[in-house]
Amino acid sequence: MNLVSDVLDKLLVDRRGYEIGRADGIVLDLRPGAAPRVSAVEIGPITLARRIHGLLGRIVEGLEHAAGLGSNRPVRIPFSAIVDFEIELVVEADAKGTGALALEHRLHALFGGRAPKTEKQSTRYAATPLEAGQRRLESLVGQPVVTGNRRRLGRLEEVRAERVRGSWVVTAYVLGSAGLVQRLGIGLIGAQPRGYVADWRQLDIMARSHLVINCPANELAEL
Amino acid sequence: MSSIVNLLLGIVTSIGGFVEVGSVSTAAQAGAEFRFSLLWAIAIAAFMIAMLTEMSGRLAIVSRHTLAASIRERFGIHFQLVPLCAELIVDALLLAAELGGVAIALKLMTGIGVIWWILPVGALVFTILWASNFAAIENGLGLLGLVTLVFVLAAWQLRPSGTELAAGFVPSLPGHHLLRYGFLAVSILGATVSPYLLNFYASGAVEEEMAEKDLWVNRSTAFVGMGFGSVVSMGVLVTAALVLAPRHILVDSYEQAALMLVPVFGRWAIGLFALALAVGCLGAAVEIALNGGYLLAQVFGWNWGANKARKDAARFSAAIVLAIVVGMIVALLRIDPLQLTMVSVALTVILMPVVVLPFLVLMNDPKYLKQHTNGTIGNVFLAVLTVLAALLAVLVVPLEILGG
Repeated sequence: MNLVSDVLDKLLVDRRGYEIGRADGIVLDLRPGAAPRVSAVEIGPITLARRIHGLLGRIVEGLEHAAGLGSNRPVRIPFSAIVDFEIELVVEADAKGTGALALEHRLHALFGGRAPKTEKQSTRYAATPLEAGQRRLESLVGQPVVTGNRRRLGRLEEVRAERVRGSWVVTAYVLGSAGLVQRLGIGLIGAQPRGYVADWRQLDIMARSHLVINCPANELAEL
Repeated sequence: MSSIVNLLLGIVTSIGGFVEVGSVSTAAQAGAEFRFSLLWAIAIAAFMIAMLTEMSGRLAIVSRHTLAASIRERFGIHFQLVPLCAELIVDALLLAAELGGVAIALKLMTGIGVIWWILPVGALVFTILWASNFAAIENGLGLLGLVTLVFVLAAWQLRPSGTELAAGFVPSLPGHHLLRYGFLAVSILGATVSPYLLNFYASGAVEEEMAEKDLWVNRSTAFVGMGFGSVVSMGVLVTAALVLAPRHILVDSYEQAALMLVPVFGRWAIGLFALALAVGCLGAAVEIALNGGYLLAQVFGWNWGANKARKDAARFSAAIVLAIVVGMIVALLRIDPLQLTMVSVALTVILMPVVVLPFLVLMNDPKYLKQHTNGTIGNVFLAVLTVLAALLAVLVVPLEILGG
C-alpha cells in the first residue's frame, strides 16, 4: 500500500457509508530496531490547517476551543479500524460516535434538529499530543532527503507499507521526482526524472530538518 | 424511459441555464462592437464546456466522486489550496454579479434602485435553496430559463444574412480595435467555461444517482444541451449586432443592452429583456451558491446533498448560507455589476489552467473511471486546452487593461 496515494486525503466512511471526514493526517509509531508502525489517521480542521502552516493550525485549534467543540480534537482513528481501502476508506466505527461530527451536530441542532444520542465522543478516538516516538507522515512528505555528505537526492514523495501480523508497517520510502510522477500516475515525454527507493532501515525519519539516509546513495534501489 | 425523460430534461435545462449575466454581457458587447465576427468564440467556448462537463459527469457517474473530491484525493490539499481559494473568490464575485443582474432586471421593471433589491434577491436565493431539492432547483429554474429564448426569437425575426452569419464562425482578425476584440474573445471563453459549472454538473450526477448505464445520457446532455444553450448566447450576439451596432450603441451598462429587443418586441422589449436577465441570473445565482456548499463539503469530507433535509447536512447547508451572505456583501459594495462580471470572467480565465490540468490525470485513472477512461481524442483535447488555457491566463490581464 502507498500511504500518500491510497490513504492520505481519502474520505473515511463508516459501515453505513456515512461520511466521517477526510484522512487529514497519518500518525506513525517509531519503534527501536523495528519498522515504523502506521498507528492512526487524524481527521479534522486542526490537522488540515497544520499541514498548510503551523500558525494556521494554532489559529484553528484556538477557534475550535473557543467554539467549545470538545477537548479531544482532532479525532484520531486507529489504523486497525480501517477495514477497506478502496477510493473510500471504510472504518469499523459509528461515524456519530467518533467525535468528528461535533460541528455537524451543533449546526444540526441550530437548524432545528435533535442532537443524536451517540454524540458523546468515545475516548478511543481522542487525539493526544504526539509522543517522542511518534511522527506525522504528512510532515515528512515533500521534505528534502540528502546523503551523509549533503548530496541532495530529492524529496520524500511516497511511503510504502504492508500488513505484518495484523499491523500495517512502513517498508520503504520513495524519493525524488520520479516518485512524484509515479504518485500522480502521469507519463512524461522526453527525459525521465530520477527516483530512489530507501528501505525503512536506510532513512531516519526522526530528523527534524533534513532527512538523511544512513547508507551510501548507490545502495538505494533506483525507481 | 426514465433515461429519455432525464435526457430531455437535461437538454432543456441546459438551454435554460446557459445564459446568465456573464454570457449576456460578453455576447452583447461582442455583437455591438464587432457584429458577427465573434460567433466563433461562442462556438469554441461551447465545445470546450461540453467536453469538460461530459468528462466531469463521467467521472462522477463511474466513481461516485465529484471533481473537487477527486482533486483532493488524487493531488492532496497543497495542490488544491490554490484552485479552491481562487474558485471560492471567483464564485463570490460571480454570485455578486448574478445578484446584481437580477437586481438590475428588477430595476428595469420597477424603476427602484439596484441596491434596494440585493437583500430581497439574496433572501429569494436562500428560500429557493432551503425549500427545494436538487431536481426542483435544476428543472424548475432550467424550465423558467427557457424565457431566454426571446434572444433567439429576436435574432430570427431580424433575419440576419446567412452568409454573414457563416463567416462569423471562421476566426478572423478585425480591421479595428484588435486588443478589444482579443479581450472580448477571451471574455466569452471565461464567461462560458465557468469552473462552478463543472463541479455543479458532477455533483448533480451524484445527486441524481446516475449509473454507468446513463453514460450516454450524460454525453448527450453535455453536447446537445450545451450546443443548443450556446445558440441562446449566439442569439444575444446576433441581436446586438443587428440592432445596436448600426446605431453605434456600445454596451457599457445592462440598460443599454436591453435596447436590443426594442425593434422586435416594441413596448414589451424592456420587460422581456428584464425577465430573461432576471431568470437567467437567478438560476445561476442559485447554482453558484449551491456549488459553494458542494465545494467545501466535498473538499473537507462533510456529508452533503441538496436532496437531504438541510439540517441533516448541516455544515453543507451552513456553507450555502455563507456563500449567499458573502455574495450579498460584495453586491452591496456598489461595484458596477458589468465591471464585476468582466473582472470575474478574467479571473476565471486565469484559473482555467489549474481547472483543466487535473482532468488529464483524473480522466486516465482506471481506479476512478474503470474502463471509461479517456480515449486519444479526449486526451489530445485536454492537452491542447491546457496549453491554450495557460496562454490565455498570461494574456488575459494585459488584454483586460488594454482592451477592457
